[in-house]
Amino acid sequence: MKRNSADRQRGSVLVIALLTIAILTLLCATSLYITSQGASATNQTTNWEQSLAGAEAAVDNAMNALNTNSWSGWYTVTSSSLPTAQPSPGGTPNATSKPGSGAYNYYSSSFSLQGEASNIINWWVTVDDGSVAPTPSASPGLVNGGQQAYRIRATAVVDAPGPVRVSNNKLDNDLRKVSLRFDRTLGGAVSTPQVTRRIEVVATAIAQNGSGKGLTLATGISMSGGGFVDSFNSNNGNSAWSVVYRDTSYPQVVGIVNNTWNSDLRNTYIYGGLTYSGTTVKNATNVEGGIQTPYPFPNPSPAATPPSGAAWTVYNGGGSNPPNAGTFTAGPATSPAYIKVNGDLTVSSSGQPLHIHQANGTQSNNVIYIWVTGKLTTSGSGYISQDTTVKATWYVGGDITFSGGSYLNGNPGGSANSNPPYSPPGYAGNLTIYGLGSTSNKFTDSGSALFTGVVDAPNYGMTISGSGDYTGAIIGNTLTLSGSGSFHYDESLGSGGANGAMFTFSRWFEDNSDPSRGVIY
Amino acid sequence: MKTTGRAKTVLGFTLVELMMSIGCGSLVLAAVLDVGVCLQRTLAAVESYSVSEGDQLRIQDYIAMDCRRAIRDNSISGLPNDGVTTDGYTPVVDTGSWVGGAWVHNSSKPVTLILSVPNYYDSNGNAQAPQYSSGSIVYGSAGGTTPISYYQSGNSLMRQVGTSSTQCTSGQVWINCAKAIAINVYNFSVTPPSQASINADTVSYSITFSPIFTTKAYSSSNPGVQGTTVFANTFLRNPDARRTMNNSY
Repeated sequence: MKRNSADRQRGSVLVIALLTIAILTLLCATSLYITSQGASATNQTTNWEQSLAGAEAAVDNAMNALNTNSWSGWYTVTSSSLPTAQPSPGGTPNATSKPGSGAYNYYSSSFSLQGEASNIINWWVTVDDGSVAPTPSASPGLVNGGQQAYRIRATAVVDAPGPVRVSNNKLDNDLRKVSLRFDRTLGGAVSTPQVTRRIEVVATAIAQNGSGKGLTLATGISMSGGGFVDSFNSNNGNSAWSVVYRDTSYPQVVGIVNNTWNSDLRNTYIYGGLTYSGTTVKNATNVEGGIQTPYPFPNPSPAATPPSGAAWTVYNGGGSNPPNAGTFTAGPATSPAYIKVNGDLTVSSSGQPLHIHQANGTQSNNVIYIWVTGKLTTSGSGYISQDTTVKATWYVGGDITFSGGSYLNGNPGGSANSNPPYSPPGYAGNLTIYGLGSTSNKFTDSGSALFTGVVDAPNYGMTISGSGDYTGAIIGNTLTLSGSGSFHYDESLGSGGANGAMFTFSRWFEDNSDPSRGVIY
Repeated sequence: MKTTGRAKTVLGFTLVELMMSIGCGSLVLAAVLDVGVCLQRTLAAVESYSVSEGDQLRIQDYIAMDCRRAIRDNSISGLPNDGVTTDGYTPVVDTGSWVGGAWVHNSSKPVTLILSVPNYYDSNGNAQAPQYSSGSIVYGSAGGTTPISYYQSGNSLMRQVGTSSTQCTSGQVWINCAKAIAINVYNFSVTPPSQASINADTVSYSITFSPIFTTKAYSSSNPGVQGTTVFANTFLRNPDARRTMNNSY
């Protein structure tokens, strides 16, 4: 039978239609595959960023615990090494303080999310003092200048939902190490794809009240005589400088912002480090802790000014006697004493001493602010004595001169009959004197007694010329150290002294390695 | 011969009908073709946008990560004097290149951001413990640093780990060699632009990408078509990398 041409045309239409459908299907499938690859890569990028947020949150949590010494919800785990996988300590959280030797503190938490990508970020963090593996060398380890640093190791894990396949952009895979089938941090298989990021931080104690150095000088230093400069830490068991270990490794004993004063050490000894910029410091052979120059750092901040709004008890200055029969009494921390002396405050041998009394016997609960608008002077056998429980802050508008009996913050050289009676030396952090004057003003310590405190007078020309030693810290414009007395920086000032330390990042390192691929950095 | 009515229907196209049907069919086919081309171009545009976004994120992630973990380092010879320091310190920006393991300034070479990270890993790739050495934190008893450099080479933004600028080969561990981290870069610049240490607490940089989805490449003579420019500013998290810090941590 003969077939007509119309039948053949209908058959061609079917074939063409099938081919067209097939081609369109392939196009759609290809497009879907390509776009789904893009979606997958975007998801993985999102997971990568989410895990960083989790790890940073973990670090922040640890920093908060260190700085507040509040360890609620933390576990202290006795161990010889840091965990590689997330620990699961039993019982209730038991941490009460910073971790000691052979232990770490542990905390974990999570963030819930909504929307695309992962719906939860799990993170955990450990804090240790470097005494668990991997351990630093035995000495000095994580201790510097008597201050303990802490290692924070934070890990965040985020699920990576979606197909188990690498990003279509090969360059992404070098950076964003998604554990699709193999855990890059622990080794072994993973049940579902995930992203793990880890940050390791070293947190060290930081200076407070601008006393991160022993001597912070804007333009220079001149040393001669038999005195020297060294450092110690009054937090280390015994607060008496005379029995100190001499810490020659402390790198920040002396710092000069810009040496324009022809600084000359005359080969006297600095047991610690010297950092400065500007012209060369002369005769620096005996700087035992190393010299770093140029070493740019900013000028000291202006001295703090008297608190505004305080109800000052006002006395008139002048004469050779301190006002109020030579007695200023501190108040409790919740109600400090504010005393203002208009004019000069002089304590001379012809008058009576000035005694800064405690209000109670509790350390850190006796606070007094004293504002002298003119000069502050002790001369001859006159002296100012301060009970060791008192925290005194002075604001002085003019020159500051301590000669003769000086300023006794505690009285380690006294006897039972002394006024004040014998007591251990006070913390340098218990006495701060702010000099509010200009570069024409001076601070002079030429007495024979030990001075223990902080003088923060960034514009002043400073002189230590007596036979008495100085412990604490100095912030000034220039310093002349010419007597037989020495300067001992109290490193505890750089870490909050008796009241505990504040911490900051010293090292921040994100571990982006993939040991199974031999990839580091 | 007598024909059937059906045959008349099949064969009964007039010339006008045929031309009309061909015309309409051509229009429909052209429309379908145009739609198809438009769809493909849309897909390509979306894909290039996605790739571009990925490039931007990747570069920012790399540089930000290395800035966060960078430290101050003067162990590299040949780094520029910025007028504040007599020896060169990282972080630093300079024009030049790595030659024989040392940095050599050359104004005709590309602008390079040089950072240093501490040797957190030992030679076997294992993490080392932090410890103090002369008042500063180092990793492992040997300490040391590894420089990481960013510079443009052709259309690629290179990230170099170590002092060798040879291209990393396939399978090679990314150490002492350079890899492209983006391959569509028109310009890479860092603030300050050259021969200066980073006198700030942050590193600022910008990257201009060549446009992908265009028929005409961007150039100085053709500034009308320009790719995306990304600006970023990353805080140097380690305090001793910051010039305003005075403490040796």
